[in-house]
Amino acid sequence: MLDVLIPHFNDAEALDLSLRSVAAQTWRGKVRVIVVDDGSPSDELRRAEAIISSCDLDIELIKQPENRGRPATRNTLLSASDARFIAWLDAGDTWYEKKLETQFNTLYKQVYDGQDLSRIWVTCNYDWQWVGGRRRKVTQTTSGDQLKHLYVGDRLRAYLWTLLGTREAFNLVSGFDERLPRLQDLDYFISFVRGGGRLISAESSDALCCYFKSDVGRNAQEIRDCYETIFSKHGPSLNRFGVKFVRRAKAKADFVAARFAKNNRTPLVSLGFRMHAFGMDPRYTLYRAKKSLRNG
Amino acid sequence: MRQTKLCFVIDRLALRSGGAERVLIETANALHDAGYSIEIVTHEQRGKPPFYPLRPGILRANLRPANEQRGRIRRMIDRLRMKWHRSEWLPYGLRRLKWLSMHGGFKSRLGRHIDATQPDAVIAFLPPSVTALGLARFTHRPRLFASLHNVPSQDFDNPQRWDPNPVDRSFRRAALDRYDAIGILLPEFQDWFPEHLRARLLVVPNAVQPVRSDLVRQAIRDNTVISVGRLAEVKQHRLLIEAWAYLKDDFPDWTCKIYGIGPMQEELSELICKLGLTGHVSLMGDTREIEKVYLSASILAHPAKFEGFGLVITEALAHGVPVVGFEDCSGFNFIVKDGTSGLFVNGEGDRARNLSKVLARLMCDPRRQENLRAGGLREVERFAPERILALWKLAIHGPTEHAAAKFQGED
Amino acid sequence: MDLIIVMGESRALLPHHCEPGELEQILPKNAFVFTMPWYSRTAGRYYHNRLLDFEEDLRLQAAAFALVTESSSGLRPALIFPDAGHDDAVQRRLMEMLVKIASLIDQPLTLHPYMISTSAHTDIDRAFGNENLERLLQAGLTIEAPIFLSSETIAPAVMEKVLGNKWINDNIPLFMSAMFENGLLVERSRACDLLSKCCEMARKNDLQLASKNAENVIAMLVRKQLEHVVGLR
Repeated sequence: MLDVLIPHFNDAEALDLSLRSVAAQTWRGKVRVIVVDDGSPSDELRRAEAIISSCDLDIELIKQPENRGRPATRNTLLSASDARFIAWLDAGDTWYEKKLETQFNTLYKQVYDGQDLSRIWVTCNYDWQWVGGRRRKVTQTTSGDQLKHLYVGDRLRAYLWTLLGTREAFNLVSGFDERLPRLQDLDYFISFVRGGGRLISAESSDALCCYFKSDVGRNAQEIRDCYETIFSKHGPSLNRFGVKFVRRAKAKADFVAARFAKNNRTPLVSLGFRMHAFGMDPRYTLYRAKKSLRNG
Repeated sequence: MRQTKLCFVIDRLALRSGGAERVLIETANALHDAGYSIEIVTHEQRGKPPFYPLRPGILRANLRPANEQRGRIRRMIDRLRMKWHRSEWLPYGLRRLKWLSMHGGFKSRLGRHIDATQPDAVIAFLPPSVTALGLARFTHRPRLFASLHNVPSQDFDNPQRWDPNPVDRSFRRAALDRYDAIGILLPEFQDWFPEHLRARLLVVPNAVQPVRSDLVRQAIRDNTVISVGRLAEVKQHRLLIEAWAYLKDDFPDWTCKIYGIGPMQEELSELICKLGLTGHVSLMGDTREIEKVYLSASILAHPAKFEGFGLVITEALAHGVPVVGFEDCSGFNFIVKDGTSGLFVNGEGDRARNLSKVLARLMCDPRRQENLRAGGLREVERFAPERILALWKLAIHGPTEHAAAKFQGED
Repeated sequence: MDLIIVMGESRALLPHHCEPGELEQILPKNAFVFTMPWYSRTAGRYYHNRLLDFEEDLRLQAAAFALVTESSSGLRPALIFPDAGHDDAVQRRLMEMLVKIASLIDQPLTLHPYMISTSAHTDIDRAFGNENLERLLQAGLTIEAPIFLSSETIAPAVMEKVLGNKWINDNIPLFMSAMFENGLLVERSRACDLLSKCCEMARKNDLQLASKNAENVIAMLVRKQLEHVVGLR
């Protein structure tokens, strides 16, 4: 009835954490977990297998002999699922126990309101936990122009593990773009909304899951390149918001890349992205600079 | 999961209700249902939705930047360009420049878009997009398919059709060389193409949406001969009106209804008055309930000179209406079999008289009408959506890949 | 899908203080009370009666969809229709609703009727009488033998609550009129709350409220409320 799709690579402990949170759900329906291992080294894979076999959940493990990257793994998961409903989770992130129950009730409400479930994804608020930092609730806003909000990334963020929906809804548009080692979920969300899909907030203001965030070890330039691919791929839909908006979206992408660079201790690269952002949207860059000075 | 990414290209789609636009949307919908991922790319000013309903999940991208997003000077230049595009001023030395001004944007934006989206196959509909795609620069290597929806001589040789600029005409022909396959509606169109392109031709007729068999069976037919199509010279409604002048005395309980609008409306109306056919022949204008019209009619008269395909003919057959038309009309003579699903009229001599004779023969023979009705329903199965979809898959994958895809169960 | 239909005296089932979890204790282990927070914030087991007016909107379509989804792991959802045991009109609507649910789901529907009562169990035969039964059978439903749960078969702790509910429901009008006589207007839901607190207090002190001579308890409760209002307590 529900397939929970989890990609896994080389972190059995994180997988264990995620599986426990699935097992603790209050939702009563039938759950199957599909884990695709993306070519983990053999000892870590063995550890993951041990965790899976000791877990009470119904789990199917698919092993990819070689590391193909996150988008390809997610595509394997999507192809492997044959359940009526799909929810996503990344190894290492967790759901709170009411997540599925609350989101399913939101889906039932959509049926009650006569909506077409093949065009709906239910998202939810979540906690954002920086490694070693404090937990903070992030609200997903689904009102207004969702496409615009996705491009800006402040009010509505493209996080797959917040979602629940029918399998048809997750197959409304094509799967994950394998050219995008990062941000493939943003591309997927944008295609979904462009294809007439709609995101709905779960009917609870509480955070329903937790994202353990870390920028360490991630290539800032790779992130910025992925943004560029997305911007050009969806160019016509982005451009209709106007030149100013496009510049703002690009400057924001620069700032995200700058943050990654800074957290990976490459301050010069970070400065380079900020300079680029200044070229794109000087006013926004100055606003960000002022804000960061104020925050010390 | 949707594996194969397709990109349909047509220059204009917003609110357009033409035959090619309908085929594009029906094909895109059918391929989307069959599990393909589809984006429809246009290059038009209006940001309005398509006339025919599109399945959710099919993406649309209008490559042309909106006017309001452009600066004041740019907009002023654009206005001047538009004026030039509409004018017939075409000095010899500026032909190429005019072509670039009119079509260059589409061509270059399309090239960039293909590189950005990297589809597996790109399908261009109608000559303007066939030309733009054929000439666009992109490094990605998708399969290219040109889908043509008219008699090729009309699309490629008639200086009045599409852009009258001779540069465009030569580009239109040259662009075909780049395509992996070219779709035509009728086998007889093959003859027009040069030798080196013939191997790439694929006959992809239009699909006919099936009609509920109980509706056809239970339909109560009036003594009505209908004709459906734009009131234009090529459709030759004049011949039908003239033929009715021979029929009206012998068949006083029969009427002739002509559905459609077009430039010849006034002329045809005058002809009806002049021949004293008021009350016998009526110009009905446009209708949104064409299905009801087909289900209550006995015969479709189709006096057209030629047809790119003849969607009206297949629709009539699917609704159990036998069709009468000229033996030399392309499209008609491909879809209808003489004596099986309709009757052929001799094209030699007095065409109106010939048409009246064949119509009279059928009007006084209800049994024959019934036989042709049953024959038509059988014949039209050739154009069943699943058969046409199989041809589209062949167009998209190519013969080898298509077989492989079938083998792997993608179909 | 296996669907449990719980019927019984409305007096025993209706007041708002018997939680779904408590009711689940007297149903089979794999049963759960089907709640409908998507219908309204307060809708839960007490509002299944609202499903009977299924023509009004898509409530039954949504409920059927939710029932199938929630029961996918083999659990049996329970719907409660207290009045179906004795009210002919409700019985008829219940049968129509069940036929409609069967048409909305793409799997066979098996009914498990339960009757909860503090007295004799004659009503269950009426609810699934011949005429109604035939209609359900014609619609392809399977009906298991009805199960009667009386004060003897129900766990004492739950039965105590059921009896408490019955006492509350019986005495709401008396309490309301006694309050009114003393110059205080009280709404039905508030009256229900106050009586239920009284019930809870009795239970904590290992006492049970008897149905006879309830007016004495009510009179005392009214006096306490008056003292509270005038600021004596």
